[in-house]
Amino acid sequence: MKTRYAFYQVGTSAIATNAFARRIGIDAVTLPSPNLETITKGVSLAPEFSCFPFKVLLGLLMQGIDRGANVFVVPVSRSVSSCQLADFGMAQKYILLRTGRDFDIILLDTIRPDRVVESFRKYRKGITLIHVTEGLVIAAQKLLLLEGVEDRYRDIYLSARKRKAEDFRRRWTSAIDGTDSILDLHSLGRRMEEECKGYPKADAGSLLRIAVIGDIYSINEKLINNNVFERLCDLNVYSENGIQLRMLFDTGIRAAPEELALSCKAREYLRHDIGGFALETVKSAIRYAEKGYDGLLHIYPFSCMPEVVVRNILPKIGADYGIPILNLPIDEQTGDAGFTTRVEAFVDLIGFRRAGRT
Amino acid sequence: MGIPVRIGIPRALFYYSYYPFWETFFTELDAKVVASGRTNGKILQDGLNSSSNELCLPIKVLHGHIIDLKDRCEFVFLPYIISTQKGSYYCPKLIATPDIAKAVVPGLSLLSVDVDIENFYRSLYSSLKEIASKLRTNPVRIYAAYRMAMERQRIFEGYVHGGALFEDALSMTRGKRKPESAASCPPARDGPVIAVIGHTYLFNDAYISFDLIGKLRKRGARVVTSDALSAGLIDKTLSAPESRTHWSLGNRVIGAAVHFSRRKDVDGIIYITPFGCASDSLIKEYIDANPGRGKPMLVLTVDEHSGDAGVVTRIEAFLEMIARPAARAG
Ligand code: SF4
Repeated sequence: MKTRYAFYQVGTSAIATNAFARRIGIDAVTLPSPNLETITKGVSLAPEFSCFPFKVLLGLLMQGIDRGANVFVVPVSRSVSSCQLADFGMAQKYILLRTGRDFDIILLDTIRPDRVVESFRKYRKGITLIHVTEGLVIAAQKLLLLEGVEDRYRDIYLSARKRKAEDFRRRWTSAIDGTDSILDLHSLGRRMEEECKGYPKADAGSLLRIAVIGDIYSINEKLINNNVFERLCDLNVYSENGIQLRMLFDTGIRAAPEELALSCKAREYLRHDIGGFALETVKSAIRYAEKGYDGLLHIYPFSCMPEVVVRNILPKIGADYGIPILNLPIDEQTGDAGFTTRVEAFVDLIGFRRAGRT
Repeated sequence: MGIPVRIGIPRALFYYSYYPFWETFFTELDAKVVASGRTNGKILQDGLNSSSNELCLPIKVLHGHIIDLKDRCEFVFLPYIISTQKGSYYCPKLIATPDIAKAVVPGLSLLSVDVDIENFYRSLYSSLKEIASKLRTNPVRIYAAYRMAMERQRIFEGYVHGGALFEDALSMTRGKRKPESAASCPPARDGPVIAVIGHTYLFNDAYISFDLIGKLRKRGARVVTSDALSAGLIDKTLSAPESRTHWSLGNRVIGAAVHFSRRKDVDGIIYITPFGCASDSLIKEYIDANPGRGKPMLVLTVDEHSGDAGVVTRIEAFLEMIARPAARAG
């Protein structure tokens, strides 16, 4: 049987992983963006108390199998910094085996290209370290650019109009998808910046400012977070993504001096790296509080262990730094309506608060 | 010598694993050790009131115990237990218990040490520093106390691995009771042997586990628990890497399930798990995927809303089921 791969995905990450697959010469199946069917499928087989991302990814795997995938690639690193994610792949395999679906999983250690080579060798002999390293670089580059597109999207939406922003997003997303060389991607990034200069900048000073923090998967997957960034734009609120996907890759940023200072402050509230992005979430909370943001949205799956810890610590940070925080736990029962109402009420609240202060 | 410093130890979580060590250690350093009372309605309620509802029952209960203690001592002792075995970890909520407690219980003064096998020397150093400064003592005395405490802990674990339940093992370690036949399930009687598996801080707390063990014994069952298996035995049982998870406690549950299903003298397994324990959420998949299962197994999920009657019904139905010869033969 022909080996066909599918990658775990979050947001638009498929664009990056497909490029990686092309670079190392493997055949990848593109998964759909998670939809209601994904959720229904995943929820029907997943254990009740597993976290929402587990269920969604299980649904995606099932859709992937329907499309002919038989090897799944799961980015993971087995250290204390991971969470339940470390066991996702195996558990999903066991669950699907029981329903007669068989597949292999590859655990991909994104910061160790040598291990990646090892993992793929079993399936494809000719893979070399150069291919893999290049593939990882291109994938990371694309991820960064795609996140840039999202950031600019919000800027353009707020300062110009939604239609323009959508047009911008569509054009550049497909351009990124179609460009597969490191140099071309580099110049593409520059051209994109050029174009952005043509738009007026969103006036972050007069708009309310909110940072969205929490579980990396939930924040970066629209279906899961009820499209929260879009909602905030609709409400004319300037927002920033506090836990971007790039954090999966770069370790360098964290060593910058201001980041280290932030780490020290964060560790007064959370002494250890307990897994997931808990420490990053705490850091982000403090970062945006210090920048004078008007509020924080904390989005996390209801049973996410690291983020539930953060959830219990955040009220203290909020009180110490004087910043309002809205907790938004999500699971398959979180309806769009209730979610949006809560966000709207919060935006009203911080609006009053700012009006009262000035 | 002045008035001894009082150190409070909450009767929750790692209390059930390491209390003999801590008690000896602090007593040797001339501190007075105060344990919180047994879990009761008030402790549970205090815990529920101070915790967000996404937290699991054992952590909520911990907060109740801390509240019970905090005005009766200078420090509440709550360690950061990160890993006690290479390659597997405690759940994020367990690791961060001191941080959560500080955030939700106002006016708390904690004595916290780091326990981390993977960064052994760094954690040892920071722990020594913390203890030396808070208890105003010196490293030499700390070392001597540590040796004594280790010895005690070893004796305690000897009893536990011999089959004694927590309370019995504790009083035998303190010399208050003779270590009769160490096995706490006397072999004479003819009741079924039930293996209770799960997290030690759940099934050893009679209040939040709805006295599962007591109820089983009252109905003539002989009880063994997952505590009785040494770490080495669990490791041997789960030698294949794909049979293990990221979690120390989870691996103990899987290992125990596999071990007890293979054991001829065990008639049934009851797996008790707290509602909302995310680290247990995938464990059942691993158990089911392991070869050698096939013993009757009851999964009992408990939380603050569970009712005693419901637990009784399920236990009795289970005991009845395994009493049927067909089930015993299979
Ligand atoms: S292991 Fe489970 S029960 Fe124990 S603290 Fe973690 S989530 Fe709670």
